[in-house]
Amino acid sequence: MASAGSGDEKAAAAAMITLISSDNEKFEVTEATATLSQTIRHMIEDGCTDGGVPLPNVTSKILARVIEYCKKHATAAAGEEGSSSSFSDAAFLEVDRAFLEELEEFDDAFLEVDRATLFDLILAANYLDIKGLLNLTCQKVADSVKGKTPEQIREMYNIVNDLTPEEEAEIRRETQWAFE
Amino acid sequence: MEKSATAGRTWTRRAAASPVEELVVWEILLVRLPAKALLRCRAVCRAWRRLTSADDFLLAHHRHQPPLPLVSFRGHIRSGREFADAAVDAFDLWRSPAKRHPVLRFNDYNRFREFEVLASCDGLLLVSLSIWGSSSFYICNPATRQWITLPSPAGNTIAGLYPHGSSGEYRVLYRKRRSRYREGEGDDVYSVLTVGSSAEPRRIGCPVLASPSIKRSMAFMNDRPPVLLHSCLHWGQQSLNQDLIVFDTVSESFRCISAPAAYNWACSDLFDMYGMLGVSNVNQSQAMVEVWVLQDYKMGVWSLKYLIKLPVVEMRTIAKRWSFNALIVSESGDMLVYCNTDLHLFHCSSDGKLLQKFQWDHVSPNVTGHWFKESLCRHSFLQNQDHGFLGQPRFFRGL
Repeated sequence: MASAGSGDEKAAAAAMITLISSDNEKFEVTEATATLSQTIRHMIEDGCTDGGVPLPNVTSKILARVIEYCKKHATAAAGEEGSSSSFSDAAFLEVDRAFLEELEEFDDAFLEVDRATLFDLILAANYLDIKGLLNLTCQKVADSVKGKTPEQIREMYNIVNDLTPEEEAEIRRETQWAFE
Repeated sequence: MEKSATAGRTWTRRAAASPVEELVVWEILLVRLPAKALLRCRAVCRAWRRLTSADDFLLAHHRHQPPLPLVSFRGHIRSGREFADAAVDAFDLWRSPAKRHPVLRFNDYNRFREFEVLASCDGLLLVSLSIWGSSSFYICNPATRQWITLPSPAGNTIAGLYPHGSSGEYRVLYRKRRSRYREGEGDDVYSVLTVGSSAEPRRIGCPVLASPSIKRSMAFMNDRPPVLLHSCLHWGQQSLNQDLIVFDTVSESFRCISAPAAYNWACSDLFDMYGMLGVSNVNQSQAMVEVWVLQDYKMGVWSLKYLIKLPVVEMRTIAKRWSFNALIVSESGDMLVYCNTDLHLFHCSSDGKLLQKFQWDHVSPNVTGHWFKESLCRHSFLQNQDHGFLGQPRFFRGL
C-alpha cells in the first residue's frame, strides 16, 4: 500500500508541467491537472511543453484560480476512474457520493467572485478549452440573463442602450411572443 | 436616481475591461441561452443585436442547444365536443427536477382533432394536423414560430426529413409501401420533395447499392423515426436478419449496415449517441438494457457501452406494467424509461437507479421517439410571416 503510494508520487513528480502567466509568473502543476485543459493537452501531445507553457492571455491572478479548479477536478476524475472497476462496492459508492457533494460545494464557493473575475475566468476557460470550468462559469451568467427583460439585463451589466426607440420597437415586433 | 436603482446589485465595472473583450465573453455566453431568451437579448443594444443576428452565431447557438426527446401530452376528454389542452414538449432531464420546454401547444384538442410529429431535423418539425380524419401537413420551426404548409403526401407515408448537402435545402422522403406479405407486388417506391418548392415530389423508385437482398430487409423496415448521421438516415427493421437500413441523402440510394449481434427487431431502438449511431436493446425478462455504439462507422465496429439493470421492481409497483422501453438521453447513459400505454415516465441512471418519476393529472404522455434541438437559423422557405393569432396553425395557438 505504502509502496504503491510512493510509486504514484514518483510518476506524478515525473510529469510536472510549468505554466507561465502573462505577467511571467510560473506555476508547477501535475500533468493530470494541466490536461484538463484541451489546449495544454494538445501542446503536451505535440511535445512543445519543454521550458514551460506560456499563456499570454491569462494573468497570474486568474491562472491561480484556474489551477485551483483543475486540481480539485483532476482528483475527482481520477477517483471516478478508480471507482468504475469496483462500482458494486457500497462503501466505495458512499465515499463517491460524499466526494461529489464536496465537489459541488467547491464549485459553488468557486463562483463567489466579482463580475470582472468571472468574465476573466470565462475567457481563460474558453482559451484553455476546459469544458467543465467553461460550463460552470457560463451557467452562472446565463442563468442570470435567462428570465430577464432587456432593461433588467442592461441594468445588471451596465450596458448602454444605443438602439433608437424605433429600432427597439421593431426588434420587439419581429418576435413579440419572446417579450410577453 | 439611476445610481440608487442599481446600487448593491450590479458588479462594478472594471477599468481594464475592453469592450471588445467583453463582447467576446458575451458571445461565449449568449450561444448557450435558450432561443426565447436569446431573442430578448437582441433588444439590449446594437452590438448584441448584430452579434445575435449573424448566421454563424445562429449556427453556433443551434450546436450548443441540448438535443431533447419530444414527448406529447394529451389532456383527457370526457365528451366528444369538449376541448382539452395538448402539447408536444421537449423533455429536459438534465435539470433536476426535469423541465418541460413547450414546443407545440394546442388549446383545442379532442379525439377528432388529432396531431402527430412525423419528422424532426435541425430544429424543424414535420407535423400533421387532422380534423375529422382530414389531414394537413406542416414544416415549422417552433423557436421562430415560422411555418409553411406541405402538399398532402397522397397515399405516401413520411419516411424522413433531412438537409441536403450544402444547398441549404430541406427534403422530405416519402415512401409508398407494397404489401410485405405478398410476393410479386414489387418494391416500395420512394419520392423526394424539396421543402418550399412548388414542384411535385420527385420519384426515385427503390434505388439500392450492392446486393439486391437488401430489398428483403427494406420490406421489413420499421416505422420508428430514423436517425440522421453522416448525411444518412438510419432505420431498424423487423425481420430476423441483422441489418440496419441506411439511406444516403447525397447519392439518394439505400444500403445496409450490420447491427450489433444483440440486435433484436422487437426491442431494439436506434439513437444518436452524440454523433455516433447507438442501439439500445431492452431485454424484458431480465430487465437489462444493453447500449451499443457504432465505434467505427466505416468499418462497422460496434462496442458495448453500457449494460444497465432497470429498477423494474420499483417501476412495476408504480406503473403496474410489465415491460418498458428506454430512451438513452445522455452520454453518461441516463435513460427516459416509459411504457406508452401507461401514464408514468421514469428517469433512470446508468447504474440502474430510479432518479425521478413523473405523472400528470388527467394527461397522457407519449414518448414520440423524435428529438428536438432548438434553432434560430434562417431558412429561405420560412420567411416573412405575419398572420396574426388566428392565421397561426393550431399547434402554436396554445403557446
